[in-house]
Amino acid sequence: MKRIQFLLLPLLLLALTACEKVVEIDLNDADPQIVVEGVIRSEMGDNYVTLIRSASIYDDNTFDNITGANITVVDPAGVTHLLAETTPGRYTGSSIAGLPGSYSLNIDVEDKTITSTTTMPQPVALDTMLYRESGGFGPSSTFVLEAGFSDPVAAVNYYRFRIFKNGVMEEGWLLYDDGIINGNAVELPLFPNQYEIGDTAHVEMLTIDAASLKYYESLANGQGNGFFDAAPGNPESNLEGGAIGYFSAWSVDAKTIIIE
Amino acid sequence: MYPNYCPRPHLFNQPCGILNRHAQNINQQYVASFVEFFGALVEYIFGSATGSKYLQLWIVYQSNIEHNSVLLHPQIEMQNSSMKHFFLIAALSLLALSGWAQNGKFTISGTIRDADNGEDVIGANVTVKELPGTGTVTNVYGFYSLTLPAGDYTIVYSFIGFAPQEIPTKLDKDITRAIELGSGAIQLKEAVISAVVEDENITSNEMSVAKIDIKEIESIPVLFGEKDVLKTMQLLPGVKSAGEGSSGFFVRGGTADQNLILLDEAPVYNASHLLGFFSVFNSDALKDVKLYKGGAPAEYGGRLSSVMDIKMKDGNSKKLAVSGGIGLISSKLTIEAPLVKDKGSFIISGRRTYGDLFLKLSADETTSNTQLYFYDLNAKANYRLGEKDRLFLSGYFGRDKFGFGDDFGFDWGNVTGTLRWNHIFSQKLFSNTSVIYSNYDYKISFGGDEGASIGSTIRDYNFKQDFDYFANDKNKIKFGAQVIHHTFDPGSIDAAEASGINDIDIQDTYGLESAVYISNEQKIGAKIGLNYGLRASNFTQLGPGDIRTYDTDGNVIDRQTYADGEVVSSYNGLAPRFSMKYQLNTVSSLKASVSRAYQYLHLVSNSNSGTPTDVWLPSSNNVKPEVGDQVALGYFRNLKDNGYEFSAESYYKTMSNTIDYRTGAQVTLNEEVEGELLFGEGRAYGLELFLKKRKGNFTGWLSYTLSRSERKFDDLNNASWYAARQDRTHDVSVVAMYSLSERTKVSGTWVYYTGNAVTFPSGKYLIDGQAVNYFTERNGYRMPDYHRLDFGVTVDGKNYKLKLNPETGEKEQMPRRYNSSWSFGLYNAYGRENAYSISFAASEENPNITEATQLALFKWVPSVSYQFNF
Repeated sequence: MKRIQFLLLPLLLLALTACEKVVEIDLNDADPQIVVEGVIRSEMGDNYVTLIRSASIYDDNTFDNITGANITVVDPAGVTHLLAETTPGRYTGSSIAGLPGSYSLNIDVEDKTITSTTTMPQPVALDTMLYRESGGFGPSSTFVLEAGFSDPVAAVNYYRFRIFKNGVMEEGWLLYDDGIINGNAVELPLFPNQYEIGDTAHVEMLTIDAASLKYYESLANGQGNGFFDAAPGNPESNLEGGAIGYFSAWSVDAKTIIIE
Repeated sequence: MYPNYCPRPHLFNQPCGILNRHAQNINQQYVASFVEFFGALVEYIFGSATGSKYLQLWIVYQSNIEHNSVLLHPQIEMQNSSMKHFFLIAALSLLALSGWAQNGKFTISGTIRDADNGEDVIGANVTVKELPGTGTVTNVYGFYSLTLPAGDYTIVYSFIGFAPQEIPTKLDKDITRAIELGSGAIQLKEAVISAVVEDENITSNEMSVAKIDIKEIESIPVLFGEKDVLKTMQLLPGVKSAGEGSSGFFVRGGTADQNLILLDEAPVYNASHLLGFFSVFNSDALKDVKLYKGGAPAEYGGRLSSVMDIKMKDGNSKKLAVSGGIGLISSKLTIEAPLVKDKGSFIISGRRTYGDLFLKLSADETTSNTQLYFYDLNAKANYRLGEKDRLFLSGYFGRDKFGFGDDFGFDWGNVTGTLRWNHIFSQKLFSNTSVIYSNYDYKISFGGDEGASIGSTIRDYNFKQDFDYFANDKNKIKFGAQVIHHTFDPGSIDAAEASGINDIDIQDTYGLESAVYISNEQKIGAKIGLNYGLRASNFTQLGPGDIRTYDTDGNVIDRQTYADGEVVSSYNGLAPRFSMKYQLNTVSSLKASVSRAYQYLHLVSNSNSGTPTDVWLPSSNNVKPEVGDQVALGYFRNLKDNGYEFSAESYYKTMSNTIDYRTGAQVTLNEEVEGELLFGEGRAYGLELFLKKRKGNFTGWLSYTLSRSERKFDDLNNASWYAARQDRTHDVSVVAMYSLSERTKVSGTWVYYTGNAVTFPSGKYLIDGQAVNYFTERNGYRMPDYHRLDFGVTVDGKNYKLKLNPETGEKEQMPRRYNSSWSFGLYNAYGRENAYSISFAASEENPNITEATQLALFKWVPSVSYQFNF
């Protein structure tokens, strides 16, 4: 839905005399919050929790890292892994195997205990990566990626796609549930990103749990930057204990494609 | 008034001496008028379906009266239906109050029409020269009825813009008289029009009403030169634009979905085209527009904030008339003609935008395959079956279409149809029966034959019965009933097998909304006028369906399956209203009103802008009806012989069960959308000032609104009151029109308002490498102030030609059959970049910092259009 509305806008505005400019708006500074991003990936050794402090809107994007936290993750087998602070504010757990199942997180930091649980769903294979001309959906001679995969009929699946265009991650949140494609083999167009001949796209298909999708979705819808967005607000977090952010376990399959 | 009558508790429950005595004194005429009235009521309200029972009742009733016994039996008969019971009591109480004993009185009644085109004149005044303060106005079908003691009178028929007619009348029997008011040479005679018409704003009982003369709309400059009632309405106090260029509006701190918009009685669910920049109302096809900002009469109901009652033209019943216009954005054509002269007529009016036709010229295939247009078609026909019966059939069809080639299509639109039957039962009892159909749907399709389409529909079947009972020159009673059957199809996906998409059909929901009402407009002496009424309504959610119940966090806690037609939930609402006018002197009056309203349908809009995919949700086991109470006080004063009109109104209103959404709610195609809702309360208050200059070459108005609108939700802003999105502290409109010459008119509007409440971030953080905004409260900030100046010039072609008169040998002015005019406009004349939205995102030059980016939509939009009629 969002994608379609997104497409309507430029065409409409083209017809009008819209103009954009950067303006100065005075904003209050919220008290800095602890921001947790906890990710368990299905590849061995690529798991991390980052701890930063939120900043003022007009600060640049170098956030204060929070060091010295004590972070543990319990894996589906019940084994507790202590994460090591490999760089300031970034804690990694190289011993976590990243198998499907339930994970729980415990963070002791600055007199606070932050906890969460998440589930890594069974993997879904990204069978093919394709591309085709955008047609009416974008400028001519651009291409839209299509992810080919078979959605398992038995489970309710939630997907997020992360795309790296020529090595740089694309902004935005590509989120889908299998509500309308349940059990089907699909070639899902990954709107709205456009690619040109010569581009390399590395696509990660993440299978995530419902709470993770809800977090990303409410984050994306709540930014207040879109013409059609809901009233802005903070996303629905799955963390307990007074922090913002989320904890999510991703079942990942990836493919790289060159547009030629 | 009756000197004494039985106190209400006794009226039905036990024999009542006073009434009984009274009954013995009543004369033949009273019995006759009563029986006529009540018989009509029973027969036509409850209809022949339940007829035998009530017919029986009627007979019992009649015989009771004839035998001078008491109104006792009907109670027993009616008991099984509380609604009908209520109705009966209300009708009788009002009758008792209004004193229908009419010894030696006679009634003059009929219709008033425009001599030029045969259109009914709504709100025309019928007054009596010899009895100042006595009179009536025509109803929406041009019908009037006035009951007076026998005598010799001069009856005056008048209406703004028409030459009044004075007819000496010997009233010694009932008289039926149809009047045609001429507007031929009236412009010159305006000064003669009696003051009774011009001071209507102070003499009428109504307050909190915004009216626009359709002719006024023509001369006010608007975006792209597309004349628009909804946009012009926004220049009046208490009515606020939903945003730059938008036809959406907010009334007295309410939301957009709290406005009931009726086109020939049919609710229009999405009144905008092209994302709100144009309304669906083609002003060429409209006759009358009235907006009730509160305390709407009892015949209206179902929305909290306002009622906008729009009536289509009936069509010229005198001669064929064609009019049209060619503009930058669209062209319009209207044809009207008699079906049978003076008996029936029709009108067809169409409008289509044609921006996309230019796209076809493009060499680029994608562009040339792009569709982007909307059209409206209004059609109406009416026919007089006889002196007492008249039929109207009207319809509206409008659609927006957007798409490119087979890849993508998105279209939406309304269809409404109204079949009406006017029947004059007697000189005093006017009836209108309406059957109304109303439909709104959208459809999104992609991928052509191998793709899928998504759609949603809301469909109403509506039956409405209204009576106007002109009891006497002091009381005008309205009563009636309404039943609407709603079908909501919140969404479905219809996909080709090869598309990889499954068909989905979110279950339809059904509701039955019904109401009965009664109201009286009463004059007490020369100074006091009252309007009071009661509307009793019910909303019943019907099966079939798999009905979920949610807890306060939006989680499903119960599921139950209901059979076809089974009642899932049901709500009653008793909405009284009362308003009073006290005339201080001939030039000023005080008015006050208090009213309650219920709203059973709610618009789930996830966006700030209002979109075609917004979903209407009925009240249900999870969603309670919204309830609103309003009190208003007003002072009305006319100055300089009614050359200026001034009013000051203030209001306070409270709302409960208002709806908002959880952050990031998914609204479209969501089976559990009710779980995404939050329920809270609201309050709004304000002061509205209005000064209008009505006479002379220079006309226009000044309007100012000072207001506040707040909401409170348990889950938002720590459950404290916060400013609603539509909260706007100051709002000023200035409208000026000046006739440079007989043919040239210039006009200008200036609007200024302080910014709406808006949510801005108060911090940021990083998620997966992307900077995202952190919010501390909803609507804690304000948009920048807005102001804009628009200009317009209208140049009429010569409306006469010079012809040699062979008798005098001199050239004389002869009216031309073909008339035309040019309109030029400039929207946002000083090119201010007004903020439409402000967003906070990474700078394009330096992604490491966040910038506030303001989007301004329109800067200097010129327009030109050509209008013609013959």
